[in-house]
Amino acid sequence: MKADRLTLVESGGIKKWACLTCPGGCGEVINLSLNPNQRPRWRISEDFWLRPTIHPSVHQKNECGCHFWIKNGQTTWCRGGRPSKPSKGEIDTCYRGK
Amino acid sequence: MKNIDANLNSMFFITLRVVQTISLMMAKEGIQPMNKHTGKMTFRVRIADENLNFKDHAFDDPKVLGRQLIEAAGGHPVDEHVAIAILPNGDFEDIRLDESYDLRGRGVEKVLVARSDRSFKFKIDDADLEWPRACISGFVLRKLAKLPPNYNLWQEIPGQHDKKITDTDVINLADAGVERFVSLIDQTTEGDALPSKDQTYLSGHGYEFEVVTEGVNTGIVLKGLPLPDGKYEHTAADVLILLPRGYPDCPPDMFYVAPKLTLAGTGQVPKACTVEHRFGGRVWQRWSRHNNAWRPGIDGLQTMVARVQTALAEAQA
Repeated sequence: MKADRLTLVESGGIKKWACLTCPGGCGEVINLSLNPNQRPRWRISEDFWLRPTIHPSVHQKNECGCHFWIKNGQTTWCRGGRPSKPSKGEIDTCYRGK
Repeated sequence: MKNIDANLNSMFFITLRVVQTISLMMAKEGIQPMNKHTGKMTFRVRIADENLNFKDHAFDDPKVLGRQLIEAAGGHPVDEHVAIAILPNGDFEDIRLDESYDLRGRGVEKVLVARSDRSFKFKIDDADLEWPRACISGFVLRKLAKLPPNYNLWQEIPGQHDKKITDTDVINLADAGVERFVSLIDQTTEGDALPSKDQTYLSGHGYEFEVVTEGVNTGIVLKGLPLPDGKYEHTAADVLILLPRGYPDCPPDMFYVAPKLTLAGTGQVPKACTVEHRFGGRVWQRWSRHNNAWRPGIDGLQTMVARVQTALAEAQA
């Protein structure tokens, strides 16, 4: 998984998971559940250029502690949620069927 | 006399310790200590019931048949029970009734015995497991998967959303297809549903607020917002702003006030404020003030709060 890529896991037309490498640079893979019936849950949308928007923000509970929004492929750091070595660049979406 | 006694005692103590050490070593090696009564070697096996409660059993013979394991666990009639070996790596292996199972050399042997005529196969991550019943609890699944507490177990459901398994969930392994489960480290939470720009605005302007979620809806409650002097029968009220899906790109529409506001003097309800709305365990007065101008990316709660203030100041019966 590339650092600037978000992988969308889809099955039967249902978006199940959004997976990305933590933009904080710790190397952890973040798996966001898109199941609307349980928590935590996220919603994803993409624009014409496949740039993802994730709602709500993503907050890491590990030492990395990153807290960020992804809007149109751009990572926006929340106050206090920016790590010392954030990765740069825009995020785009690729699909992985299951 | 005393000295000899002390010597004897310590010798006895040493002998006892040597015996203990040897039996500990033997247990580690998978060789079993002697049976005190028969003087024969015994071979231990831990047999679990379907709640994964283990009991220790001992056999004189290093090789036991599946039916012997079932009998030892009190399973009757034997042919309606299954014995499943739990391998050190966590995988499972069927032991047929007349198959001889070697109790040596694999560490402490673990066997699951339960009443069933078939077993149900499933996968947790890469391990092949089976269970003698169609139904299994999330608790037992987690125990089988040896999940550390910071991991969550998910059931993979093709064509549907994957489901997070809690201890009290019951999964039917008889459903079509091999059931698959994956474990994922639980290290991510939803951040606040409120964008940081809005948080900064609200706290920077001294608003006391709370983010309240109910089902799929998120609302911001501004607490004790001061009302225009002498206009209402109250001096302050809580204001609820419901954030739509897609906020802040999509505009919040109306807003809600609690307690219900009436105009001072006349006691009349302001125009278009008669509908009640329940949210977050409270009853709110709906202020039907629609939002026709919203600039995605620019507008936020600051715009919405300004609209609320204007509406409260201009309200007429």
